Amino acid sequence: MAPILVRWTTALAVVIVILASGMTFALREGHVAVVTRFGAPRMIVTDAGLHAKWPWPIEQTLTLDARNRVFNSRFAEVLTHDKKNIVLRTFVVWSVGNPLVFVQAVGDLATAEDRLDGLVTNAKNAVLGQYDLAALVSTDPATLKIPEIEGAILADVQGIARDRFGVTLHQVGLKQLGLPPENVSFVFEQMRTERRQFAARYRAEGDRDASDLRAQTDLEVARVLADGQQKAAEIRAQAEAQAARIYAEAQGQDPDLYRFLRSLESLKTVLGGRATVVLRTDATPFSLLTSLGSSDEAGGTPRRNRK
Amino acid sequence: MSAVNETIHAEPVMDPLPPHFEAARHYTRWLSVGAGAALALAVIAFVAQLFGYDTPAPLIAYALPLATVLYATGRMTRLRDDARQSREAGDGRLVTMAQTRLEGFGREGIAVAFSVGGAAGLGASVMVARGGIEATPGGTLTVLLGLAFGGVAFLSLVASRASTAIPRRFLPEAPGLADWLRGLQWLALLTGVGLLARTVPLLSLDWGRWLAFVLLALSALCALELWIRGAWHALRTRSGWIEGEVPVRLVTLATVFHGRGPLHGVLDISEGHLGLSLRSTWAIGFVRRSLGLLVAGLACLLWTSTALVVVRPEEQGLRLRFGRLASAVPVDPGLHLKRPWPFETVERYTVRRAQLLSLGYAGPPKDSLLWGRAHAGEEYQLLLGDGRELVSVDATVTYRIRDVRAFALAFQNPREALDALAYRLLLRATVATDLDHLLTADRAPFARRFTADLQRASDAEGLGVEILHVGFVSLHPPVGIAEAYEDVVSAEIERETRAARARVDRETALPAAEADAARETREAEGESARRLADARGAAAGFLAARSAARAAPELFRFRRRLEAVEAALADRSLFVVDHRLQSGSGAFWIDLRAAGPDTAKTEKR
Repeated sequence: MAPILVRWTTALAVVIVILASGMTFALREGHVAVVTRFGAPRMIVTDAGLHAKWPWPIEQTLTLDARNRVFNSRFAEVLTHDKKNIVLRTFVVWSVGNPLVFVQAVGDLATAEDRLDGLVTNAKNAVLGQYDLAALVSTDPATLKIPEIEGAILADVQGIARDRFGVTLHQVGLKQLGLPPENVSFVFEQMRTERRQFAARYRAEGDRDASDLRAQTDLEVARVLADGQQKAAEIRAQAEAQAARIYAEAQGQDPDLYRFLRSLESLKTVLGGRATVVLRTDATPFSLLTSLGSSDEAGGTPRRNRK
Repeated sequence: MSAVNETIHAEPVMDPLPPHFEAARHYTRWLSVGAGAALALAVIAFVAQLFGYDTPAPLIAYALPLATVLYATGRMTRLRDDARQSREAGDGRLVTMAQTRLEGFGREGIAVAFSVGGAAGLGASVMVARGGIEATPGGTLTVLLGLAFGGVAFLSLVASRASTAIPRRFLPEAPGLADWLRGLQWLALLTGVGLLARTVPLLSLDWGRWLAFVLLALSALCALELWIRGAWHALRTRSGWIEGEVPVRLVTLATVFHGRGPLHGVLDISEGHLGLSLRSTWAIGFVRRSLGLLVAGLACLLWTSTALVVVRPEEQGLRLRFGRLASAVPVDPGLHLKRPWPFETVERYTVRRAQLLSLGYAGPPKDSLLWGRAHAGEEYQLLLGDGRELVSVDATVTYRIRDVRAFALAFQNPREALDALAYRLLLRATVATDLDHLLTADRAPFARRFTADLQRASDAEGLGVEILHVGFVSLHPPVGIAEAYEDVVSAEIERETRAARARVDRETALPAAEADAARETREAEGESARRLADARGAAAGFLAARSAARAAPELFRFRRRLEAVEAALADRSLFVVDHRLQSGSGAFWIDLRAAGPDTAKTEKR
């Protein structure tokens, strides 16, 4: 008896679970569901929670995530009004606006983003063709018009996305601004040249400063040496004057004797090492050679004769 | 089904068969047809997988070993029949020949066939597992495929029933083949159900995919066992007629697909192989009686456990009742009660842990951050300086979830949203400047301003995050030209170096000159001192001479003169000429009139 009861209860529970799961559906916060009856859309549910429906195959639900979503578009090369190529990357904030249109026209998120990518790239080309590069990047903030460009792209795409794909676009933002690889190498070369110029200038400045300093040093050295020499000369001159004074003071007392002594000194000095002297016998002391007694005071003047 | 068991009970598998079999040639054809059909099934499943229908993929791994088993059994049946016929004909030579062929196939043939079949099945399952089993697209074709597999299941059921009915004396492998066919029946049925479930949105779970994983594991297991069987068959010692039967009965299949449930299968196998009768054990009997209750109780316990949720210390949870937010207050860390699944679910988010978002370089960081070397991943360059310069940026944003509700409900991909906002702000911050300004600008205020801007932007989008810190890891010219920038820095240093070198020269030259000048002065002073001393000495000498002369002037003068002559003439070449020597009209003569003796003397010393 008991096993039969258990079996029937189990069977009933299984049937109830299957029916309940077939006749209801739970909708998560931020999602929307499209309920179709035999394929024909019947209602769109946006409230989260438990909802009733007829079981399959009568009614089916298709659930979509209706929260905002950020989509990064691919890199796209665009031409500005002043014919400059740039690589631009944008992002789009979007959400499912009209679930029914979305389901019919697009189906799923990946396809939607594929379509959006095409739309936004197209709009990007059209909008940027009206602006110069200076509107995107410029050291003069007055020429920058990035918010305006973003607004223009959004305005271009918004209507089509809403009507055709059931997608609401909230924002278009520029994410990265670059150059095509071919141009990058030229920009690099230009930046490199500019830097080289700076480097050369710095090195030349270094040379200039160094040579300035060296010249100044040479000048100062010469000046110091000249000063020293001048001072030495002055000291010598003073000593000379003082010596002359001393000589004069002493010799002035007996000039005759000085003359005599000085002559004798001079005689010693003048007769150099290899001088040959010829003297007459009547000169003292050779007078002794001819006459023993006669003394000739005024000895003959010695005659010098250099060999 | 009961027939199988009776057969097993009567004749355990390991028992050697009687030395002759009944005529069974007509089974050979059916077995070959079966092998062909199994191969065809494998091909169909393979083609279906090529077209993106992954759910039937496990059948490839099952059908290949099945085909091998059927083929081997068919061939063995034919050889057995040949042996029987030759024996009946009584031709000794033919008997020996047939016997040899039978034993040969029984030994090597089965080993080779099982190894090949097992390896093929295992290879296929590895291939399928590595390729991944994706969700099968829904649609009419899926429904048709599902129905077709239902048909295959039905055919397998018929074949399996038919083979259980074959007496063992005709086909001793019949019970094993029945297991294999029952396996195919369930595999095909479940695959069909899985395919059909894909088109029925009963629950969000993808049944077909999970079923396929389970079935793939089962198929791989069968293939592996078959392979091991083949290898074992080649190695084991043989005796008598054991080569006459193909060992097709797999433990895996007997356990899982046994007619009366897995427990019976295990018991049958254990009894067959070990000779143990576990059926009579009391414990086993109890388990058998209460198995249903046990399973139900376990299921209930599992379900009730979904009423408990543990939120970890760094997390917060959102309580959703049938998907609707049940309370605006997030669930804090700890153990919480909730209504069991599917009534309530709690989604947990790591809220308190700081999370990192890298701007610029994607991928793991490298060990050093030098300008001239690429960091991890792709270099992120921004255009600036009127479009004539590029800068490489590498920054990290540290953030944390502040409002878990906003974080969960505002965006599908909040992390990417934050990423996009950060990049946009970075772009705005750089387009109006040039590289020199950007590189020399003070990073700290720049980062602070950026943090505040990013916080404002994410608040405006309702992201529910708190920006903790933005760090500019590096902000530098692109890798390609970094060396030029570094050269400028080198040049600046060199400028200083050259000037410094000149300063060093100056510092040595000036003191040297001063020293020279000082030396010159000192020398002059020394000289003048000497000169003065000389003068004073000379003056003193003169005064002394004067006082000496005053005493006897004539004598003094005479003495001094002679002293002078002596000093002057010492060591000189000296000629003394007679003063009387005169010359006149070319002749020298001496006038001796005044003096006494005539002497003309030339003295040379």
